[in-house]
Amino acid sequence: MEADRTSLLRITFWRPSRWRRKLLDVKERSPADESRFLEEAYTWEPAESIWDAVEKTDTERLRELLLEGFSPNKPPEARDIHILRNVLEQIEAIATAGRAEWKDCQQLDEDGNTNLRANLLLSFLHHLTWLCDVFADVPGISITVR
Amino acid sequence: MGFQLLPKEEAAKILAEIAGDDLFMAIEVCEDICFEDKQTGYKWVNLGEVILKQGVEDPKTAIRLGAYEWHTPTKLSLDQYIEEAVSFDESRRKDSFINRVKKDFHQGFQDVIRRLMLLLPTFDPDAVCRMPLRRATTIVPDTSAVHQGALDFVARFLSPMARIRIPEVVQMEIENQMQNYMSGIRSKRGSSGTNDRLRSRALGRHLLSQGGQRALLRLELHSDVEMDRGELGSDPIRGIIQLSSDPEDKSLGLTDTVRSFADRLIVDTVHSHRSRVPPGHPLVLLTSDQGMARMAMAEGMDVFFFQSRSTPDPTDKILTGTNFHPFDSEFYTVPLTEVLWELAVSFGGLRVKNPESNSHLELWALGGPEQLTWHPLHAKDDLIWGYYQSVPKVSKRAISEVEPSKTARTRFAPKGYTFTPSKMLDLIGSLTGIDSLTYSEIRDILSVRRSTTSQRYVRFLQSGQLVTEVDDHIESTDSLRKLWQAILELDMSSIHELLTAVPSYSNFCSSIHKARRLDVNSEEIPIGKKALPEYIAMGEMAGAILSIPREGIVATDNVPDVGDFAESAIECYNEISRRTDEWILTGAWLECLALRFAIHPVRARALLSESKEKGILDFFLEGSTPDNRFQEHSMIELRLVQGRPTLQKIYLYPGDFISPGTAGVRIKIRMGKSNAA
Repeated sequence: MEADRTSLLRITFWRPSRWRRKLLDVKERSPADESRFLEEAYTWEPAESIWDAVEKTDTERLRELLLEGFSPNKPPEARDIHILRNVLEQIEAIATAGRAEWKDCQQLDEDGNTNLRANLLLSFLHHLTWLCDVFADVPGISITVR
Repeated sequence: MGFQLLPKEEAAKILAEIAGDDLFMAIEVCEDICFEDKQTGYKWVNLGEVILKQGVEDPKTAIRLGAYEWHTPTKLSLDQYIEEAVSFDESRRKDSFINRVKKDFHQGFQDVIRRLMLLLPTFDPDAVCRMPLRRATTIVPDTSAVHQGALDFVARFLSPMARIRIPEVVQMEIENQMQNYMSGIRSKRGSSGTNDRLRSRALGRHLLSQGGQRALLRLELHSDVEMDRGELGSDPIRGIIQLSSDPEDKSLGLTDTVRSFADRLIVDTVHSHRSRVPPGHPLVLLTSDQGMARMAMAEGMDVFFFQSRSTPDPTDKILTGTNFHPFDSEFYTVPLTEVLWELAVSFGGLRVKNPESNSHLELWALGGPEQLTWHPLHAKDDLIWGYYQSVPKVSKRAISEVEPSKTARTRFAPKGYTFTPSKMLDLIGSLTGIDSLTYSEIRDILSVRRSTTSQRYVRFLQSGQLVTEVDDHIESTDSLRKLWQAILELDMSSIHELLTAVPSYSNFCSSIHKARRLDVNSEEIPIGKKALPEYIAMGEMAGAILSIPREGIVATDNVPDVGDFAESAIECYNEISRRTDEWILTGAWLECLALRFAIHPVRARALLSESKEKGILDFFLEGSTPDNRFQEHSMIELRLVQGRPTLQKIYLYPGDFISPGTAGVRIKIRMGKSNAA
């Protein structure tokens, strides 16, 4: 059975906004400060819960590393791509130590008969590694995870 | 050998047979000129192991739906396998030949992985920001985009918004590569013999020509992507590549296929295509060529640029066929047969085998032992020549446990049993409580659905005579009851001693104890990668070993008395504090004791407490922010939770291990009063 899909995680990459024209901040009555704004570069929300893929202690650690480490409340420089690289190293350690389980997913195959099976943490690792490679050298890039 | 044309569905059935109960296969590839061997015919290059991860469905479904892990070798290992497979004339062996083969192999392997989308090409960040496409866009790839997977990326993730226009010169370049391989290498093979120079070039040309043509044919024959085509005669290539009698053309060398001309023609294709699409219709050049990208941008053209070689590196990875779609919340899948087909066509030959049974499937797309032919039907129906040799398998128990001396250990052989250690404890507890269980009851206890899974648990215990099978019932023995008693008493030495009755566990611990320390990837460890985490957990639980990141698996079989321990404890403390501070990291001290004196952290904790009580040592703990660098330094400890044995993952660096409830991240150790006196 295919279950309802709800977003469980949202990862967004932000980069400094690039305005084509100057803007006037009517509240401040002065030209708007461009450096205070970031624009969305990429957003991704998986349909499957990656938290279910690992043991409880690892789940707690991953939640802390991702949700707290990349909370929008933190300043952008405290959630940059180098910090994400460090988190990826820890995810990789869990995935390669065999502590991430393969499980049936909600998504069905093309025929709609069989649930796909995945190692969610491993797939997550590959995806984040690709994003890190893509956005690695972009000045001012930051990440939020909700 | 009797080769027959195989469709992928048929191959999936064969692969399921080869994988058998182990769900395990090794992959090797070959290029029949480069890796030709006078004695054995061909030599094969190991590309790692594939483990199927089936659920309740059969292995064929796991193959079809991408439920597998492919453990690729490290770059160093792969280089070694390539060197072993290349049999150049030793007397005139040239490093440049070997290096060329290695370079071509690594590049070809990376291309295959990217074309399959097992790892994605690394695009320019600006390009990714514009994906997925929001309006119909025509993408014009260059030859690098065809070879290196960017075109497959567009077809898979950006279609149907992306329409593709393949410039004729791209087809021509790949056709030239094909001619270079067929006429320049393959046809010279018989007449002048295959010299080392020719052989060193064969692999690279094979990979480029066959891999490139497959990518283009796949797009045309097996995808739904919309293709734009030029009008006959409209392509500027005709004016340059065709022979010309004009002396001016000759003096300019225009009859030669010069690479910069080909680049220019690709950019011109974009320009000329602009007249064929509605005004405002976006056209984007797809390339990893920096020069071409700059030229196109200078002419006001959009470019999707991707990195040519730097990333991603496919070696030393666990690849899987179920990956997240880059712009969607869902998965995309890569069937295992698709992986094998791409490798077979690109390299020429591929062999999949189960090292335990020696059953194997050999696939050849070109050449090979019977110099197999090609017809358009092969491309249309995606058929490959295959030969399957089935070897009846001796039961796993007989191979791995009862007659270990007769087991020819191969590099790929999976040894040991895969199980969840905490569930193993549950089963041991249940068996000692009831004395006998049916398989159905065992499945309920383990919460597993498949009988093969529950059998792995039973086989592990049975191999050490801890249980016996009587009339479909599994009965516990005295040894199992003693083991359970030792577990309840947290008596690590007895647990280890009783577990050594299990040959696979005993062999594992012996290998570590003999070498004192082994890397987790060491071939001296007689346990397969798949089962290794289980054996590490059991060994740590029994205090016999400790796995330390970046150090390896360390023997911890030393059980010192309190006096000897105190000396070792001070020595380790002094060694670390000399380099750092009088407050040293507790985790570093515990690991030093394991590395230098083979003392397990659980024993170290008990002995430290005892030595303090006796006044031999004094220690102080300081709570500070845990050092995030050591978060992966953990081990499995057996504890009693409400009287029930439980396996817990313990982190050595946060500091609450030595004194539970206390954040003793750092420790200071001194001689106690009795010792000082």
